[in-house]
Amino acid sequence: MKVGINGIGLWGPALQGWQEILPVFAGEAEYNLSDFTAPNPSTISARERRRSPLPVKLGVEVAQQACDMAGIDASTVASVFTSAMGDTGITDYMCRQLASPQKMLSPTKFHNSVHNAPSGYWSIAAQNRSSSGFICGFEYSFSVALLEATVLCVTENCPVVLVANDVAHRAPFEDIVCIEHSFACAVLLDPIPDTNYWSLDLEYCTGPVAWPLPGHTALAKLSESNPAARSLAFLEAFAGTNPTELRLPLNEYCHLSLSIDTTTQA
Amino acid sequence: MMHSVPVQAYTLTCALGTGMQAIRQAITSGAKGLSDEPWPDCDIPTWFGRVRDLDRGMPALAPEWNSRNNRLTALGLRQDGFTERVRAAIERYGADRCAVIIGTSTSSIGRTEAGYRSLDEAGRFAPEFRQPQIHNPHSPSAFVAMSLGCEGPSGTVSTACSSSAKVFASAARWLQAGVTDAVVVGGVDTLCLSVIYGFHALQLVSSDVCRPFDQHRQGINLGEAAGFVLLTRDATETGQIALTGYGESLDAYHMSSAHPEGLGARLAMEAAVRRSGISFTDIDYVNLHGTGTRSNDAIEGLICHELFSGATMMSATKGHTGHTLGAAGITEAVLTMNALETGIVPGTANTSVPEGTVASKLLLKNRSSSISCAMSNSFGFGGNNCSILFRMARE
Repeated sequence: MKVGINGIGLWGPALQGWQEILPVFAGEAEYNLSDFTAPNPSTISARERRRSPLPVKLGVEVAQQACDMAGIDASTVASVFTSAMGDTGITDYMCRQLASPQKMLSPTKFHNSVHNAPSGYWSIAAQNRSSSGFICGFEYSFSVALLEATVLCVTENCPVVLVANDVAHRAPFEDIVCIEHSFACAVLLDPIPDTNYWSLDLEYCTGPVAWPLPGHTALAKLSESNPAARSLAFLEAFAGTNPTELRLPLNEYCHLSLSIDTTTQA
Repeated sequence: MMHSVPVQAYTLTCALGTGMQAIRQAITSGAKGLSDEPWPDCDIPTWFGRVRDLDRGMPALAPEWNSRNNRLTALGLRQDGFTERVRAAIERYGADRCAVIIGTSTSSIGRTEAGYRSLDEAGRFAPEFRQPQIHNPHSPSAFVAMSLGCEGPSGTVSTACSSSAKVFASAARWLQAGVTDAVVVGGVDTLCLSVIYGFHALQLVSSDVCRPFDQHRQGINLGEAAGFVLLTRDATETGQIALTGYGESLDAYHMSSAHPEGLGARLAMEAAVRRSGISFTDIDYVNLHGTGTRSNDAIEGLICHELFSGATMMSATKGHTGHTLGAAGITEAVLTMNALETGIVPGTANTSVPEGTVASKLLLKNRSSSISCAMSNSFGFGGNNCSILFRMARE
């Protein structure tokens, strides 16, 4: 399956967009993993922004960045969201409350607990009424969602924004999966592969593979410490000018084989 | 127009019964699925759609997979020869060509809640609760894939109450793209404090039994269910049910209130009809989302009255099963397929005086009718909507 890629958004420690990570990929900039500031996406109304949790802010921010870079109206694209753990801040709040004698829950926190909360807030901000999914695969969430987004783009012949995020957490979830740093990224897929910045050829293959890591040491550490950031080696392929081949695991039995190239129009 | 996707096997376990035979018997006899028996550690007076067989002792799961959600999944997979049908598909296509897409809203969070009642001083889970495969949203699909031996791609859809309707759309696309030859779709959600107290905080839980579309309806009753369907890339044969349409949309209106004019719901139904190449007048039966809340039923009733002709029968089955949330899509898809197969269209349990314009189309009692084409609606938080269409291929 071949699609075009014409927008990338991202947010992480000391990273607030695609242009900021390019010098890090190139080894030209110093990079500090601890420096994280939450985004405050202007597309969410001021009232909603106050009640929106970090995964929502991250998802809306990177989705908008990808649409802006592609020069596409955000109200017109289908979307696929993913996260390995969802909003563990809200899960922690709810489970603590429910373990207390009163068991009282905030109605707003409860409706924000659905895994499609970033999709919901984003749809309101972008006035988007298209198809919007959330599909996850624990540590393989990014690649499962990339497969889903590519299939959606090709079969429905429509642009799709893929949005991945995972937020930092502590005990008790640090024993479930390590997420030391918050990270989100978005990729805009287009059904016409040759009229975009990049082309992506994706094939489903059997056999186990390991996650590829980006070249930069701190980015490799980020990739290993956040399931959404497992995407970093994939994103790095778009920073170069040479065609890149890489494999992303879908689970312990199968993987995606990817070819990434710049198109003649780029 | 989409290529129709044949349903090779289906099964459901919910408050009405464990497996299709028990469910058919309950529908025909008018047996009640809902009960006002309290839920453990819960002081909210309401009714529940509980799977009773789950409390009557189930074989223990391996400790790393143990949760109420996975126990219900194991019970559900065992019914109606479903596991054997999937094993035959694996034999035929290869395990790497068999995918799994399960919908859920709570995954195994009931187990996470329990873990929080015994955190140690450092805030960590006690050893028996350190279960990475349990405390994450992907738990249901990972467990189904492991249980059945499917080695193709596996993903868990979690878009609140539309989750296990949307699995049909994703599966149809994966099959169309040739990624897989067979997909096990389904949905699993189990009762837990998060949803009982959460919906209570939103003032949507009824202390009365759930009465969809009734003048005196007061809200939802929560339920639990596990349902599974095997879809393949084959051609549909006579006598088989096929997925012939799906439509997905967003309201872009509010996180927990439906669009007041039902704009997103209308877009989903229209997309499903367009994709199947039929018109609204061809649809014999609609299984409505019908949660029993004041506002949702009013909006869905208004839109459906407008879109469908008087010949289309409609009912809501959440008075039978309770609202099974992330499993509502599969629960109602299977009840819809069951109506296509048995010719018994279910009525709307507990409803006696239906309200609004849709009242003239709403079935209160079961009706015998050889129907061919039926729709099921599922609408969720985040304004996430999905409508799916099934057709019985008759001679």
